[in-house]
Amino acid sequence: MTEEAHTGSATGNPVSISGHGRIKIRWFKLLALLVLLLAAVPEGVGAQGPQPLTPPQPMSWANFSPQNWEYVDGGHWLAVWSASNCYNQHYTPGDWQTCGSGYGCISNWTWWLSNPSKLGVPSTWRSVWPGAQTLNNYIATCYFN
Amino acid sequence: MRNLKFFIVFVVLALMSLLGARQAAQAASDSTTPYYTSIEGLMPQGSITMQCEGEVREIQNTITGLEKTTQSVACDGVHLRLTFTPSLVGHPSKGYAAYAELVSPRGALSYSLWTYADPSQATVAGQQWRTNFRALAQGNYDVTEQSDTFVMKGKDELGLPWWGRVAQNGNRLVVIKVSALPRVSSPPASAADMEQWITNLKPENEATTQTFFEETSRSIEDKFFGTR
Repeated sequence: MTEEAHTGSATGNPVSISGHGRIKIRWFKLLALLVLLLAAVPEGVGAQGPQPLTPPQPMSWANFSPQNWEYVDGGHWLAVWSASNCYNQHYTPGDWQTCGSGYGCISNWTWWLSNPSKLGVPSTWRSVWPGAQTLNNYIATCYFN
Repeated sequence: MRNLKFFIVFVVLALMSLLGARQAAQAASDSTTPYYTSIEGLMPQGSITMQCEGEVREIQNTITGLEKTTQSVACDGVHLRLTFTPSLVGHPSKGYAAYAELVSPRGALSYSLWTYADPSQATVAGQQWRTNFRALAQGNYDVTEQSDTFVMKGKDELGLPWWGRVAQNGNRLVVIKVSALPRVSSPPASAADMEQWITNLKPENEATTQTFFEETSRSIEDKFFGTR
């Protein structure tokens, strides 16, 4: 660049660069700014047209164990699954071991909620029976999204 | 006239400073004097097998499209959450809940402490807790009831005894439940022996557990009703 190009003109008019045709510095600055701005925009934001849709996640039924216990209103124990619409509950050490619960065997226990699924577990049986407090000892078929 | 204006400004500023200082002192007092009794304050650490406690938080849940609120304490370390429904506890301004299982004599302790905006709300919640306790009992139960206290002895589905207490003092409400459990014994090896096993279930020490219930209730209430 020449000295003339660096200093510009006192009147504010664009200054010509000798030897490069008729390129104006003001337009060059604008172009540079535009390039910088475009480079800074994250990929995808500036993309045109509809975005390709993410393929739908498979939804399926499978056997799960509950995630945690819930003690409700100072008197009721619930085993809580993170999945929904659970059914076909079992106690993996043997369903017969639940039959002394005072509320029948595990297949008769009440589901309090379907989403998330919460199964009522008889309080005293849960406290007394060895292994009854272990969440992995319970299993049910649930809808997993 | 100008002096009067200065005087009014001075008085307003002085009043604001006084109010601010009073509120700060109140906040400091509240933070240094816990209103609750923690489980450790009731029994030595080695006598507990499992515990969960803390100040309750209001949790918003969307259940089958409806917004529902519960009061809840989450103990992620033991995969346990203590929850209370509004139909039982109403809308307290503050709450503390605890659950622990005791080694010897075997038992379970749960208690919750509630503070309401006014005494009438505490009375309504107290009545609901009384109904809740009655519903938990299987068969016959004993109740000693007054306007501000309710003590009950009931039995669970396996015939084991438990005690419940509801006590109110102004806008504060205490709810305590202690269950007596049997000593851990070998479970039956087959379904055929199950009935016999249930019949033989007896609390490890009913009298000691009842004494524990009474002493614990006194200790929790003394502190909760004593701190303001």
